[in-house]
Amino acid sequence: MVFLFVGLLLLRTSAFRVFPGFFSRWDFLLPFIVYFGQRRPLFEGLLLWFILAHLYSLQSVAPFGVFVVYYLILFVISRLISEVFFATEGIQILALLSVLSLLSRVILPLVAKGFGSGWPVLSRSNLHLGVIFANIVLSWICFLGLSFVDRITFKDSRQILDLGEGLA
Amino acid sequence: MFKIRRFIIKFKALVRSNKKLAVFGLGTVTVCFLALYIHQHRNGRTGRVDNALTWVTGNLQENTGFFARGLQKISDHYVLLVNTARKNEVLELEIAEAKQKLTQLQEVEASNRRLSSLLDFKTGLSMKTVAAKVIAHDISPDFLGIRIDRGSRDGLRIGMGVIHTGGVVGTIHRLSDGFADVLTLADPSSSIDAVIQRSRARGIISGETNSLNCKLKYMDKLEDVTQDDAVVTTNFGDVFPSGLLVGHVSDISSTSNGILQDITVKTAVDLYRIEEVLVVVSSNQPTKNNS
Repeated sequence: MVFLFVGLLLLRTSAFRVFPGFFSRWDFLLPFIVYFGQRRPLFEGLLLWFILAHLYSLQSVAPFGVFVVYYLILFVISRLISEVFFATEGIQILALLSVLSLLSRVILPLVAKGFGSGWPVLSRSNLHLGVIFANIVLSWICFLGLSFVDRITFKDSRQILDLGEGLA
Repeated sequence: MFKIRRFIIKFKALVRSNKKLAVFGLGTVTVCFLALYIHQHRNGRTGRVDNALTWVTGNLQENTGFFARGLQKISDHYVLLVNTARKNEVLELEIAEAKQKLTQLQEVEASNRRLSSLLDFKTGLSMKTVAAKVIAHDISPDFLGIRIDRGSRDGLRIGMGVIHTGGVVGTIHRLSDGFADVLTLADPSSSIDAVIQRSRARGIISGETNSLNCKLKYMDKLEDVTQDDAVVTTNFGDVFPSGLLVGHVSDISSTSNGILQDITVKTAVDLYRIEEVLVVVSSNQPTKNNS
């Protein structure tokens, strides 16, 4: 999963000219973080969040710590949602990612503002519908891709692990 | 409605029963404060671990970029040749016009040099620069930065100006040994001192999120600004030499408070397409000869 992330990181930062414009507008760590919140045990999820969010931070000119905090908040929300709603089917995952993509457009400017570099939440450029829509669709595909990677590597999801602990 | 209430009850019960959740919440808040603390004390410097991580990703980006540029060249030179002949005709006309303008400018430059010597000014064209290659762009769509293949061991420092033949690019924001991250002028957190070339009206250039355009901020409503006015740098803070092109005014409107003007500036440099830049190591300006 980390290698998949690094591959996407390289494509995004160095080879973005080869891809269509909407690819450069995609917040591609979002599906990873939502996936870790939903499908991974807490400790493993936190460890992956820290490594990937820190690596992501180093590739941006955003004030140091913005992305670590922003993705932690998204991870916590995703984790809390997973306690009451576990997205397994395609449409459920799409709904979950739609909510979190919209929410991310509110959280990021506020977190950035806390670090002295924000922008208005209710501005047209921040809530651009085309960008949000592209973000949801690409994140959905990525989330399904991550599920597929877990399936082919025989990685058990958190729900199965929890169930196993309960039975024991 | 019933479902929402059930969801809330379930959530409250979960919070009450789960002590782990309280620890988790406390941990989250601690991390937020810790990140803020580190941000306050780092000031653009990178530690050993970050330096190593930047070295690894930077080298990978450099090689991926080389591969991507190859792919782009194939696409540009062999696939997209449909409009080349037409473009060629237009370019030939533009070259003829440019040559004519160049002759006029050479004349202006010659007279300017004579006048400068008359006013006893030193000709300050000895701007010291370091050439660098753009190896990567910002990972986040909300921030506009670029990474260059020069770092602190090449004499670069945080805050130095970065330019291109077309105009201003930005300033150095973060440094490691072999690489530097440049905060471009179109980023929301950038601020560059600039003036309208024609009227000398002064303002601050700052970017907008998800846009390659900038805003010329703090411009009084009474100041003389018109569409297509050139915006140039000042020598304030010794970051850039004065007179470098930032962009052109593309839109003017009044702000909601009615005191200031809302000025949009189209950057002179295409920040998505630049491949090489120059870092201004020292911007020696013409100084008055007191002797």
